Amino acid sequence: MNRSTDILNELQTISPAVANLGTQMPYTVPAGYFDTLGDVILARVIAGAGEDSAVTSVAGKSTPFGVPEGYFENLSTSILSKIKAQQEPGVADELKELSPVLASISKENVYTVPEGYFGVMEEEVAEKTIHSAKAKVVSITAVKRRWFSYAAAAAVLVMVAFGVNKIIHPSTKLDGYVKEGLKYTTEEQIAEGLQTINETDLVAYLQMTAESKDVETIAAIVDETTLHQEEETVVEDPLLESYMNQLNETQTTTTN
Amino acid sequence: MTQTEDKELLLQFRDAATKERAFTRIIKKYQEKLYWHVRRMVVDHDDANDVLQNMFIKVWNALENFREDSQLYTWLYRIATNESLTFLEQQKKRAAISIDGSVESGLSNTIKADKHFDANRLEWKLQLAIQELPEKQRVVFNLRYYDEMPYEEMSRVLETSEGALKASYHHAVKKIEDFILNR
Repeated sequence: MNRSTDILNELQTISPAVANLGTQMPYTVPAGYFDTLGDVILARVIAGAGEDSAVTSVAGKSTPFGVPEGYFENLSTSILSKIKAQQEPGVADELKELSPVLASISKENVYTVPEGYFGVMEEEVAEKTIHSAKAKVVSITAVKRRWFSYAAAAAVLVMVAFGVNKIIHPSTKLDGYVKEGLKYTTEEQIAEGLQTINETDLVAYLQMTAESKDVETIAAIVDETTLHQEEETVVEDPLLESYMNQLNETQTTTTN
Repeated sequence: MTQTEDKELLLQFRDAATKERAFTRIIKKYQEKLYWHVRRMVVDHDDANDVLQNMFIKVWNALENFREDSQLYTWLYRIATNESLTFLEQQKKRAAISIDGSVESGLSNTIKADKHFDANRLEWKLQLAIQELPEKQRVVFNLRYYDEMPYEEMSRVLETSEGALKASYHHAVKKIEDFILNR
């Protein structure tokens, strides 16, 4: 350390012996001490360590206290922002300076919100995002197919209830179908049987035998709310499959 | 601390097991602030509801890729602002625009049509005055006056310099004062 001339002269005046002593400090400092001192102090501040508690870390020793991730990276920015905010006039002071008239007007909110709105809004957003991601995709084709399957089930019900041969073809081969059909004597039994209709076969059957106006007529009279959902009706049924196969054979035989 | 909380929410959102809960928490935390920010722009509650919901749907789709080069609430405010401005732009195209002006007079009419509107109250006159401001200046005024947002933060939301924002706010205040005193 270089002494200024003034200080040296002053010391010479007071004590020539002291003035001639060297200024080299005899004390030593651990290697890297000043490099880590800032971190150590901050760690103590965060940990809330008291002034009389032992120093938690010196150069080369680890601190037992944790620090939030990214704390030091953001620290300088955060401190500078706070300083700036303190130097900037507050919003209220700024407004008073710009316009005492405006500053005198109450900031009371004049608009109203329907009661319970925020709860409802949250649910609606959840429907459109969280639940929408989980919802099944119902294609237009699937809706049409559902109508076909309902219409086909209703058509088959009519056939089974009133005798297949009166509706399709007057043929002795169809007597067997009627006998099978007569095993279903109650609506519940028919409904149970129709529950297990193979949808693909029904669609094929309807496409083969029904005209578009039949489907529309059936769709118009069927109460959709009483029908089962699409996913509840798709199960294999040996009896109806048998009907479908035999009907197919009949059609083929008749046309040949 | 909001920043730490938001970082946690982001981490939870990126984990499939906690994504939905994190999203719901984000909505609960910010919905009112963002609602009023949007409402002050578009005025009508139903319009504000539409804009706010669209905004949160965008958040749901985009948050996964949020780069965290700004804070979460800064990003949310930015989306809400852009959605509001887009909505107003679309309204302009749909509405019959008169020479002097526009959707601004439509919004003024919406204010006057509010069942609580009272032309004698300065608070209502203030709302009419705010609607006279150009849209972006309206955003600056609302963020500073109602949300008391520091210019530095506003600069990040609107991606505009602090100096420009200060000037814009100062002009907005003068215009509003003039409207209140002289109209």
